[in-house]
Amino acid sequence: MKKINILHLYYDIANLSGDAGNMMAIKKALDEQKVNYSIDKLSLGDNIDFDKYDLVYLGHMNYEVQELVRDDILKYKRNLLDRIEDGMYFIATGNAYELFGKSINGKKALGLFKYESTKVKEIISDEEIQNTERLVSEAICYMKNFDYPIIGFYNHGNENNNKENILFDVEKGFGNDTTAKVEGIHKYHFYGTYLLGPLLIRNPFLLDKIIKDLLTDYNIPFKEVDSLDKIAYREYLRNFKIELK
Amino acid sequence: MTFIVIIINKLLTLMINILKIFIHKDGSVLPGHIASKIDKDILNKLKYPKFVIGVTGSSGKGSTTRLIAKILKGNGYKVVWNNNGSNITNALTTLILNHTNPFTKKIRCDVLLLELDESSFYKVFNKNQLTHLIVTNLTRDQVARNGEPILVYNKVKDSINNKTHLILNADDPLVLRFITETNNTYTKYGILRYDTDYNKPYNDTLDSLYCPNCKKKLKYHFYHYGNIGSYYCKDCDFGTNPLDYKGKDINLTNNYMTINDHIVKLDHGAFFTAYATLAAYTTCNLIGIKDEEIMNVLNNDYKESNSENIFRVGKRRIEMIDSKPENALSYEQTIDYINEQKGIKTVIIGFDNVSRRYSLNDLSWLYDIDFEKLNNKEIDKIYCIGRFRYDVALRMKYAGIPDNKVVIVDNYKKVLSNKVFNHSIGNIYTVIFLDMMVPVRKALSEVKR
Repeated sequence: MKKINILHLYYDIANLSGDAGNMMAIKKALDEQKVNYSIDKLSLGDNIDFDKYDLVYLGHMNYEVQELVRDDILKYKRNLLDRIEDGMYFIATGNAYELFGKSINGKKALGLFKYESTKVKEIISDEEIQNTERLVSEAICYMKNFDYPIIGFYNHGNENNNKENILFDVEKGFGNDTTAKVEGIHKYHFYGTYLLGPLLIRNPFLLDKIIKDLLTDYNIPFKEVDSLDKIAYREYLRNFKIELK
Repeated sequence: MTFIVIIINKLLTLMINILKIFIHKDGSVLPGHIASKIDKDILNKLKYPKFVIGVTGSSGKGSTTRLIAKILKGNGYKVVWNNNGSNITNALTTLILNHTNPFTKKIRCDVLLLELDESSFYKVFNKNQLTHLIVTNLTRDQVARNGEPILVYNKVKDSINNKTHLILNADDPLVLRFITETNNTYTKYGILRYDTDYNKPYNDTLDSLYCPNCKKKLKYHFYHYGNIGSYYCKDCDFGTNPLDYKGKDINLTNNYMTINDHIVKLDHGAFFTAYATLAAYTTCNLIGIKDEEIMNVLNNDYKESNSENIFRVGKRRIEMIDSKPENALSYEQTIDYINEQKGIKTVIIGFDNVSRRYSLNDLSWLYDIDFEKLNNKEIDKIYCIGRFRYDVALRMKYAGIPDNKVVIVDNYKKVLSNKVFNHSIGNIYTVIFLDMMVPVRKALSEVKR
């Protein structure tokens, strides 16, 4: 059986809000499917060859780390973009997603997509969390051709002007900017979203979809498994009166 | 005018204190709110005492402030301090005006000691007032409000000027950054190697691991918890050492530690108490209280600090620990504390809300805490309660804790005591948020067998 090779990219610094939970979720899903896999962890100073990997995960980071990562990841631009265009899976959560646009606050980014990310311009007045120059909200989103609402949290200091290959319609929460009700990007097998933290733990059906697609690409059968993840997800929907599509 | 505002503040406080007998509401905010509505600059028109000490940081502010107040008062200082922990601007205004003489505008104390909210204290008074500022740590906390720790660092930095002497927990690289980006005088305190330290990080979810000067990854001699430990930069002199005040030989069974060469008692057997004690010792010593005078208070006037939250039901000892969600490192220390206690343990974990300040419920922080540490044979059962009990139970599952140890309790107010007392063994520790302390205590106290 084909071995699935996974990379947790900048694992030690891109981890601002429980993002490592996503790697736990991927690992558990592959265990449940009894698939042969490996997980590498690489960061600044390592020599990274994306040819080796089938799925890469990159999490949310603080703005200074994002600057370090931006500098570093540009070294791999050609190799990384080729691989994504070839169909390598890439999941970028939180502000990791900004690295794939054209620029971040005027500085050059990878340029896989056309959007530009810039500091949130409007000061959001919120009685509870006081004035903030960040887009902070609980999130409920919907994805095309997918029954299960996506739940999570937004908390980002930049916004972007992406209009293409939209990943989510946003029912509750901020979108790509203060007014957009759409968010994220999905093209090839690239998933980018401002949702941060343990997205794949909180959304077990989304994880199923991604793992199923990945395994199907290698003709590995996928079987759905019942889990506490799914019970917790349904319980959350019930708790917050969120309905399936 | 200042006279009138002070009088109004005092009268309102008096009225609220009388009304308090009938309505149970915290009255610390309203008088200050009204006083600052009348004159928003009121706090800058007063005469401050010689020492105005601020205590800020993501966790440990309250216990540090309490210990400083205790040492100062034990040595005859008159201290005005926010002992109720109300640290927002209006509450501080109420407090200060209530202790100000309306005729002379003098704040009546030797030391004004304020626990300060790290992200809003710039609003309190102008930058000239603080003579000392203690920064306990800057870690992930209330992220919906604060964003990331580095933004809190920036806010604190912008809230002071170079007249304030900084007292810094040098074991936290983000706190120590003040010495690279400000010209303030400073004192560094830190804790030397301890038995349960890690030589490698426990997991990868650490903050600010790189040097603020060189942007290279910091090297660590050891980690106490999270990113708190002894670190250095290979390329410059940024690092924990040299320390001005060293904590060492910490004994959490008999509750004492050594600071420089002096043995002092800890009023709680938790590692964070060692930090609070060290910070308080450092501060009091710096403003002129002698070692012996500090030790006299800490070692003789001794009372367990969490005693009101420890009780028994039948043969079971129950210790309730107020655990604030979203503050991963503080929560983690609660887990460490439980692990340090001897014998078989039962743990109750839960929260109904993530925050008291806002209604946004981010659950990401659950994955910044090493609940994996609870996967050990001394843990008999973990009961998950509250609105997010399924999310908590799921985190326990990901931590590798066997299914038969994790119990999800629906409707805990009715069934918790039956479940816990009939189906678990050992001392009971509750890791719950403040808003559940009363109902959980009630649920556990009503034993129906």
